[in-house]
Amino acid sequence: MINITSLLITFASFFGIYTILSISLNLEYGYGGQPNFGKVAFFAMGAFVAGIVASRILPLIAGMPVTDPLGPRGVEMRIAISSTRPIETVVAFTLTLILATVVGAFFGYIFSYPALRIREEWFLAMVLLVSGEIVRIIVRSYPPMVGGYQGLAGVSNPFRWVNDATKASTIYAGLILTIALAVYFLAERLVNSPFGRLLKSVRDDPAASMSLGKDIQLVRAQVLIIGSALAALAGALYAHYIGFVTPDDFVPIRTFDVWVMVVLGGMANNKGAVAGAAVMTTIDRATAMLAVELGTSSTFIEFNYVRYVLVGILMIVMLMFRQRGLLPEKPVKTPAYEVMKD
Amino acid sequence: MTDVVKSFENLRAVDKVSLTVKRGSLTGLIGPNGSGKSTLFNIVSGIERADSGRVFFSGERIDGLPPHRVFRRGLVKSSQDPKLFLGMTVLDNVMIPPKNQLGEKPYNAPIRSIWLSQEIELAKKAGRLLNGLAMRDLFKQSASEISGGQMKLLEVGRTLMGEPKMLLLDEPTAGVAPILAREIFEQMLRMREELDITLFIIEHRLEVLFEYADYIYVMHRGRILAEGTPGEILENATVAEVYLGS
Repeated sequence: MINITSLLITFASFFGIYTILSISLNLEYGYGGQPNFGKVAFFAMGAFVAGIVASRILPLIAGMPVTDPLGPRGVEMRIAISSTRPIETVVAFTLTLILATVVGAFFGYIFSYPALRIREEWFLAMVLLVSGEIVRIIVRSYPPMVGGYQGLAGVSNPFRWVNDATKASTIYAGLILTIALAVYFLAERLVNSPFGRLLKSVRDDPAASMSLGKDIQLVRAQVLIIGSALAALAGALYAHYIGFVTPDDFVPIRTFDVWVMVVLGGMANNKGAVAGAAVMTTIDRATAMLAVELGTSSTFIEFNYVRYVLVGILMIVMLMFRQRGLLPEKPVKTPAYEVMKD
Repeated sequence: MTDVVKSFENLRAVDKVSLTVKRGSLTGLIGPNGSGKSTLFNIVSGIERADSGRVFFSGERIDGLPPHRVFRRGLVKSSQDPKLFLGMTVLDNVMIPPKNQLGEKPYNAPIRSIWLSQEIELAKKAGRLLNGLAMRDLFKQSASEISGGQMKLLEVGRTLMGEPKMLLLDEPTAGVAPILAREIFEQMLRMREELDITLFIIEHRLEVLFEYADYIYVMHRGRILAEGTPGEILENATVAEVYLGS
């Protein structure tokens, strides 16, 4: 039997996380023309930071020793702290979000540094795609970080101390949506400004932009730093929603899910990025739910894979009939237009 | 510039070229196709790096600087084919070149109050510029939707928003009607008077260039073949032989 409340909470949480990811790629590629094929790496970094903070720093904030951070005693300890110590839990969670954003921004710059010096932007795409897999494989093969392939459990909902699972999940979903809304407004402010204009000029014609005095390498690095920071923020929120961090959750297909959201919604339109995230969340959650429901009635279809078929069909239809996405690109809205009307 | 050399594999596109463009002048650069004129402009504007030689602007060396740094010193190049941002509006195209825009910094961009007054001033200036180009009514239109002649005008006009000290114009009248070609030159002369800028122009429409230019350089096979006032060039027998063909 489907639990509507639980379904809505799950939908809201995933929608918020996907929205942040979609907006981050839309800034990078839609506005800035930087094809980030390693989006999942930065999403993963946020989740890894969440795992590290929960397993190492949360006990310290609560005044307890860090014992067995990857083992069952560590899991018990952090669940106990999250269930009974609201201030420490919220402080650690806030720290997670800040650290994840900083780490995402830092690695966004590091990863893109060599590739940005190559004129052809698709080299950047390849470098980032490979970097994403390298990050996952290193973390998977190095258990001291987040438990290697076995992962790390006990990355609790930061509102677990409410001691009502539904209430805690509802509050957390509300927080994710609030953060997603803030990211949306931030992105709107960023693109409807001279910076947004500059991004589009670099995207449309880098050589012309350079000949008009713009430091295009700097602009490209800036947008990748912002996009990577946002993706890592989404990763940290995701880890605390799922409660478990495993490198195997961050395979390249996740990057392409984000691309689908942006292409589907409409490039260089933040509302389009949100619309794409909504469509993707619906497909994602509907197929996941049906997979569980139909799985119990032993149907011959493995419903999880229907998701890929649906996404593929949708993409083909969109590219045939609506190449510019559900909500096409609009000019930047700066006060200059108001001046010209006068 | 002195002794500038640039080769592409076995081809010496620019061969020990030395020339001076006088401040405030309208200097022309002519020569047959493939004589190295555009390569020379690319070297001056930082798009290409010379193999050897030195380029000076206002007494400072600029060879080896990237294009955006050359631009910031006030030396601006306009391309042969209009290099407009076709996914952007006419207004956004002219709002790109101004230097030191506070709102271009991502940390300032979300805080409108930091850059609002500067943006308004720049928009007023853009409005005056578009008025001068008779394109004010098109400000909201996509740059891809205007005519070829308007694109050319917008390309030339746009460079003025960057407050240049010297403009390098690569065939500013290519592909436009003869009447419009004269209009473009008239407009450039007005600009020169009003804004005190130096113009260095590659032009194939010799009848128009010779009417307006103060001084002309003729390039042939990567070298400066001749230089002088338009009258002197017209009377130069070597130029007539290798370039004008009569």
